[in-house]
Amino acid sequence: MQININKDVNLLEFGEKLQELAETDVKKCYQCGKCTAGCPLNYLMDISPSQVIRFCQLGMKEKVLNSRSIWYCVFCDTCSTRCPQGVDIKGVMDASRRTAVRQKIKPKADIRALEKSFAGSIYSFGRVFEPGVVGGFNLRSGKLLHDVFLFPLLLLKRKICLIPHWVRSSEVRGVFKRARRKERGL
Amino acid sequence: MNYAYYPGCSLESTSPDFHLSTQALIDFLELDIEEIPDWTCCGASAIHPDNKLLSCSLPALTLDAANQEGKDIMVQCPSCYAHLKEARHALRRKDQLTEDVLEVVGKEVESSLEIKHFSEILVHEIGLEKLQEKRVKSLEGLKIANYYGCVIVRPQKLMEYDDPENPMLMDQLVSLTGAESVDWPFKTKCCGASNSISRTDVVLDLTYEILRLAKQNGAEAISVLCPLCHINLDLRQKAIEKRYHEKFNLPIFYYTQLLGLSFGLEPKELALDRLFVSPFPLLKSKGIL
Repeated sequence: MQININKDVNLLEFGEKLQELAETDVKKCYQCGKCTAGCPLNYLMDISPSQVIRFCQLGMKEKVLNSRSIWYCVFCDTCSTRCPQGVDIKGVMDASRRTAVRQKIKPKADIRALEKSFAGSIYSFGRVFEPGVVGGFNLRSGKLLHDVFLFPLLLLKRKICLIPHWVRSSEVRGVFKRARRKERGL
Repeated sequence: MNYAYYPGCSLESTSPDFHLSTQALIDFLELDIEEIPDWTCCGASAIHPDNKLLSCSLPALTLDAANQEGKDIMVQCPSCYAHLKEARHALRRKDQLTEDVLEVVGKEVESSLEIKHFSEILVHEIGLEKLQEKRVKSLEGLKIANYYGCVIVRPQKLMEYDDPENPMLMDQLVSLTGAESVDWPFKTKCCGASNSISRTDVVLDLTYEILRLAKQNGAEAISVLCPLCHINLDLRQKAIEKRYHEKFNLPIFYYTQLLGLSFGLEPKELALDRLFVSPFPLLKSKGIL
């Protein structure tokens, strides 16, 4: 793969920012590719985990934040566990995704729609309400009939609750609000 | 032993079989473990890609609830286990993150409590020998692939559960029942986790490989300890078979169900009837039921 380095980029800035966010030193990576070899989601990624780290080393932030890869990582930690240099690749993926969310970069996978529905459920009830999460996901992603056929099966096995449990929800909502305010630096 | 049980949202809704079989074991072994009252969600994998502070603060509420009871925490769901440990780590750091978490939670939270997976309590605290004495039925002849998934073993430094590539804790428990644990390479391979809803096809790809490798290595069933792995392998097994035109018919047990069987508990108590891939033909053919 050919990489064109834009001479205006600050080679250190992004790496340092990441070091702060992900608490790992990407400069240690010598590109052995072990992370990529073990990554179960690599086949869906446009740039492999080792390439993500390479772009980070080169300060090519845009390439990382606009990649599909950061949205497909499932944080299984196979990469970081196997890295001979102790680079926390998963941590970099996680931090990059948070940065992309903060910069309002359009997600390249529906996982974000799921995360929003999930968080909404915890915010409302204090616990997860599955039918609400799946329903919310279907609405947000536009896949209206997704998994709908599983519903009767789950009902039959009594593996879904039709009524949410409200548990300390006002306390949980307070935690949500304070954490979000703090992350925005207010 | 002084534990409070944190079931988590999955065990309360989509995995009642795990919850019931756990409860059955607690009762059978006469363990003094009760559910944490009014527990709240740990945030699972949906929060940390968005807000790290929130992902450490939500489980801190549970840590606080256990502290109030003066107890350590017993968990079954690996995702809860991971997030509780992550939050405890954040509280132990004594840095800016710790201060922020305490401010968000709005109270002082102790971080000295233990967080243990039920399998750790069974092996390390009750002990295999003592469990062996309770066995009334041998599951001999049953070949099991133990599948741990990724969350419970990694990152090892934080989880401190078992080896991140070749864990043995569940193997030890399953061997105790008399069943044979097969040697296979996908013990800690990822099942695709929460892509189950957002990208089901990805999960079908990954779980197909897991089922295929289990069968190839002689397994007749799989034992799991994670509710999400269970959904992906059990509920979605029909879809996997359809996508790859291959029949597996591999029952997916929770390790607690296998243990319960060897202790002579009733299939109903262990919620075996609530598995999607029925285990009854296999168990009958082996003379276990």
